[in-house]
Amino acid sequence: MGVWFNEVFAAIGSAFSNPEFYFMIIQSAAPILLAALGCAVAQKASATNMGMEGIMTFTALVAVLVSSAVGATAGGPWVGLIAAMIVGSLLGYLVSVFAYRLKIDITLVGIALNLIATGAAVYLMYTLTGDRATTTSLTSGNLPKVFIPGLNDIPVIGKIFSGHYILTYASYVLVFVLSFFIFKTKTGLRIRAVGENPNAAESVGISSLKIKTISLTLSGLFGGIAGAYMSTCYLALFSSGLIAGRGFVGLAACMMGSANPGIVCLCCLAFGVFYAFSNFAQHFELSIYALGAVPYVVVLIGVVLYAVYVRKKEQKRLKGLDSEEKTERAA
Amino acid sequence: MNKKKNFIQRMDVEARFSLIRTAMAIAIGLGLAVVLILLSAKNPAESLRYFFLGPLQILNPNVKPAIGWNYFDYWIQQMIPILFTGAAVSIMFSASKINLGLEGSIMAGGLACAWVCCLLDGDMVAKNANPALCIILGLAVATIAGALVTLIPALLEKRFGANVMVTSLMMNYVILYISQYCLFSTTLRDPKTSKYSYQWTEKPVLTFKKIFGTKITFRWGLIIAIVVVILAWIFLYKTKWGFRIRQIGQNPSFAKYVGVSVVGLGVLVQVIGGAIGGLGGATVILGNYNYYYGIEMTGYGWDGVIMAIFARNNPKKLFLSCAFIAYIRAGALIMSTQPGGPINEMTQIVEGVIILFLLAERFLAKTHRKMIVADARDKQAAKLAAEA
Amino acid sequence: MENYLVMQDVTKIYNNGIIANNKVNFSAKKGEIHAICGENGAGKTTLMKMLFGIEQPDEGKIIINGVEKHLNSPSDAIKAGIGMVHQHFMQVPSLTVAENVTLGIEPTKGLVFDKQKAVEMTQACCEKYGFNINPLAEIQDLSVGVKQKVEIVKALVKGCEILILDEPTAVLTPQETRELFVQLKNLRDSGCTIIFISHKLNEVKELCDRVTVIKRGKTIGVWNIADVTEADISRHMVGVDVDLNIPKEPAKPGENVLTVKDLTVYNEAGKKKVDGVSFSVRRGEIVGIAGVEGNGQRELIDVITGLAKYNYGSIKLNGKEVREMDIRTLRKNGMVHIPEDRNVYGCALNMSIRDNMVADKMDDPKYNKGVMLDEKAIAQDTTAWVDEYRVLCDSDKQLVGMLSGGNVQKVVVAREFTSHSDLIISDQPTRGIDVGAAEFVRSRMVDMRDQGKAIILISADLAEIMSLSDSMIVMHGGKINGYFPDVKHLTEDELGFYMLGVKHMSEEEIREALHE
Repeated sequence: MGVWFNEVFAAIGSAFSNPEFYFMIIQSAAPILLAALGCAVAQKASATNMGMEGIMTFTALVAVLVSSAVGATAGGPWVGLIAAMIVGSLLGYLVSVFAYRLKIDITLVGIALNLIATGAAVYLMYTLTGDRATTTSLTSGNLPKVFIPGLNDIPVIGKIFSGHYILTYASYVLVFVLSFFIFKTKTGLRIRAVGENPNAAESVGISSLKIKTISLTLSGLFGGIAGAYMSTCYLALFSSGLIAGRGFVGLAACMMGSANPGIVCLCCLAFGVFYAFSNFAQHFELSIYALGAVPYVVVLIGVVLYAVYVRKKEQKRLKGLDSEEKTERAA
Repeated sequence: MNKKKNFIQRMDVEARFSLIRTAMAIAIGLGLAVVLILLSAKNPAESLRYFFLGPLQILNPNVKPAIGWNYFDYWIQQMIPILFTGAAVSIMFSASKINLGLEGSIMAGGLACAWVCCLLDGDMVAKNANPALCIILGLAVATIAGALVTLIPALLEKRFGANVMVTSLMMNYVILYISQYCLFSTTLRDPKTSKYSYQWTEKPVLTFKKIFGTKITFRWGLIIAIVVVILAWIFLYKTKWGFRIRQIGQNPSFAKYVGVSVVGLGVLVQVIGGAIGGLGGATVILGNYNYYYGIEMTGYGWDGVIMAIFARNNPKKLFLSCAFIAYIRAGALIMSTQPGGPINEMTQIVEGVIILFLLAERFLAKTHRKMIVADARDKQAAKLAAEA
Repeated sequence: MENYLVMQDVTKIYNNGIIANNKVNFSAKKGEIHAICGENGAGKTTLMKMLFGIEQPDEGKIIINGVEKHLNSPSDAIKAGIGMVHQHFMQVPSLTVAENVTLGIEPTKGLVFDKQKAVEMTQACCEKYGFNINPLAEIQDLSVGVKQKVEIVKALVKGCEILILDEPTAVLTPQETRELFVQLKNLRDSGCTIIFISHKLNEVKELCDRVTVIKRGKTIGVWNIADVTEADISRHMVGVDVDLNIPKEPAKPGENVLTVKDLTVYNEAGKKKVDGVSFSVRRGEIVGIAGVEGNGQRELIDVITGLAKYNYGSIKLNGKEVREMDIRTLRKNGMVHIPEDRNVYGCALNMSIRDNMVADKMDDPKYNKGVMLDEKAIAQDTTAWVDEYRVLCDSDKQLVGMLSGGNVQKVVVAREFTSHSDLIISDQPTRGIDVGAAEFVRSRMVDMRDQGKAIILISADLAEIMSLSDSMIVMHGGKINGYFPDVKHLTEDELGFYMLGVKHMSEEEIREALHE
């Protein structure tokens, strides 16, 4: 056991002194971040999008199929990305239709969607390509990597921040975009209002059905980008186990970050640290399988800590009201 | 009014509508299956035949009995795990507890059982314990392991108010990686193989091939599963605890008001659900393998949710629901093994679509309304006739 | 002066068949504060919901400034210049005051919500009408009084000409109320029409110009406030016109079953709802608790039945402290409870009549055979109870949700009255049910009393509470305001005075409610 610990410490030390490790953190957090942002925009309207996993799976395939149809060198990945975004939005819209127009519990809609989307993805892949497990027979290509001029030449920093896929940068930019959308725009304000107190929104003439539809459609859009990321950046193909729970982890990160894009991003990066480390530790012949569980344990603890925090805050608020009341009574 | 009524006419209007809606949902699902097969099969007629009649090929004189019985066994094999998980989820959902950690319970159960068997028997320690002891101890330990997996999120919710849906989802992955770790990095793995544990017996112990000199494969797993489902039904519908659990699910305020311990029973149902999941995981391992192999999610946990929706959380209805789903899965599996047959994952689409239509409150709402109105008119007319 | 708002012969029938408003007439002038008074369930809130577009009238017209309006949603009402301050604040806690105030009419710069403009709008509105609110504060950090003001500003900023206030002072301290009144008077002087719904007659008298009284869905009359006294209004509101004529012998009270001593209860937000209450309930008597809703009866019942906890004082059931028992133990010790809201606490609509009737008797050895439930024993009893309590149904296997309100209530009553009990808490036992069922429930209560049970009766129906109770407690502002050992000599006028706080008894007289 002692030996094992020593190995772990050695691996940690070497990881944190290696720029490649930081590069990997940024890389591996990106798809989870995209999924989490998608869940966040829906969660702000109090719609829990369990179907994120399914949306990602299906759109990942769509991106590959469209990309290879257009041609990997003829801008195919870009068209694939756009197709994935459109299909993702459509799936998000469908979730809202089933959940709010046909009145099915949104959790169960998500579970059904995951089932249908993963089944449909494999079915389509097999029917169109004849492959059961992966789309290796298609050349779908990657989205370009970006080497930022100037930054690229700085020794350590360049290695960490330059040379990512363009969608990796995009996903971090989207944190700001979504923050801006949720907290600064009129629609964002309405989404938050509907999420917190639908009666208040309805009483001033805002349709909560419409707002929830918008936020779930947007959620699907993000899911589409996340799916495309997996099949045009992370890998250049689709396989049935490609998403591997990233949609669920995104949902957990969204819950941990109370659906605030900034905090959600930090949660995803924290997750990325452990994810990158479990990858990195392979060089040290450490058991990667034990380490594989670590990110999920971290998320689990994070969700608990968040719940404790929320409870404390609520208690404090009630206490505040209480003391206020008492001073008033004294006066 | 002397007309004899058939059994459908004798049902009350709600039951009749429920039957119509279920039939419609299944019809839509199967229709979709036909379309999917027609679109992708090289030989559609052949594929359709295998899909719809595959598990019953034993009745086909042109098919060799050995293959026919094999196909029939697919059906049974598909049915066992979903009976377990369906019962587990039915119990949890009856109290409105959305604990999705069943996937983890199944893996933990399988792993715990395998470990016990390896320690007691087989090449790993070169001991030869009594196989019956192996099985009983293995199943018992698996049950406990499965219960622990769902207990953790339940307690985290009770103590800290953490969202049980999210924590239970994360538990699944934690268990997956622990299972991989055990398989790859501990003495459980047979060094002669890359991803399997030591073997503990000659063949899967819960299965007997060619029982009574026939071609029937006999699976103890099915018997255990049926017993579990019956016990689950008795527990939920015939005991006071089950009554209270359903009460919590129907109206927690009402349950609290008549003095039910809402929080305590909420934890209990999750423990029971996990225990059933663990037992199911072990049964699947002992029924199909004589070694452990668990490096990916089984999907049986999600199947449990589907089956509970089908059975409307009533274990009694699980038999028919599981038989139906297992049948189309077995059919699809058989179809997909034929040259040029469509892929069997298409059943997931069919299942998903069916449950969406089963759940949609507004689906066929107009028919529902019409039936209620007609029923009210009939009753009115009958009343008037009786008065006259 | 011309009437600015006219509601003419407005009728509203709800889906469950209750006629909430029956040809109600109401009108208000520009620049007046007009009070609407009436008992609980008289139809005030329904009338206002129709004016604000939440409900649509089945008959009648709404005319504003001479033009007939069809108000199909709150947005229509807002467009027609109507603003409403709901009893429960319609606010989003994590948003700022400015964001809440401009929600629905958000100022924008392109796609962006113009925060600066929103703050300016809020500030301008506050200054114009003399409110002192920080537009950048978050709602969740504000006290109830300020929230109330935000709610008013929310209506004003949308340019409302008619402002509806539904019991605005229920949650305010006296200081906050005084401040609110000053501002409302300012508003009136600037030409706004204010509709003020309240039970507090002293406030109505102090603030309003005219008053309309509604009773049982009908308009009783309109008066200039200067022409009527509080006592007059009270008389118009409560006047009991049906004698229920329930046959019953005089009570023969025995020993104390429930003893409440110096009980003080704070609600979740820390507001004192029950204030030093002492009384006892004896075997063989029905003690009525009267009072306008929101005067502490709800919280009192919640702590007696174990649904909520109390910190100060004591409640003893058969000599045992209630605080130390959970609900199951309380019930074992002889407490049964007909809850106010039968659909929330009283039953599970998707379970059968049989299941609902035995829900509280699961521990009874009579109904258990080993670990299993004895279905035969249960069926035998429940079918008998269905007959005994005259529940109209096909069989006791029918879902409770399929029954009419009166029959649901009979199921609840059957369950509670067939359990072992010493104390029966009967909270609005006949609310919203038909006459026949109500009569049945009442006569059962008298039977139970004659069997020596102690009964607490809470009812908004004054005819009921006056004819059923043997003695009566009146609550006002969380305190006991009056105790009547014998209800026979009590007139409805007198009761009204106590309920509305116009009269109150001395400490000594009230202390008599506690029989020691």
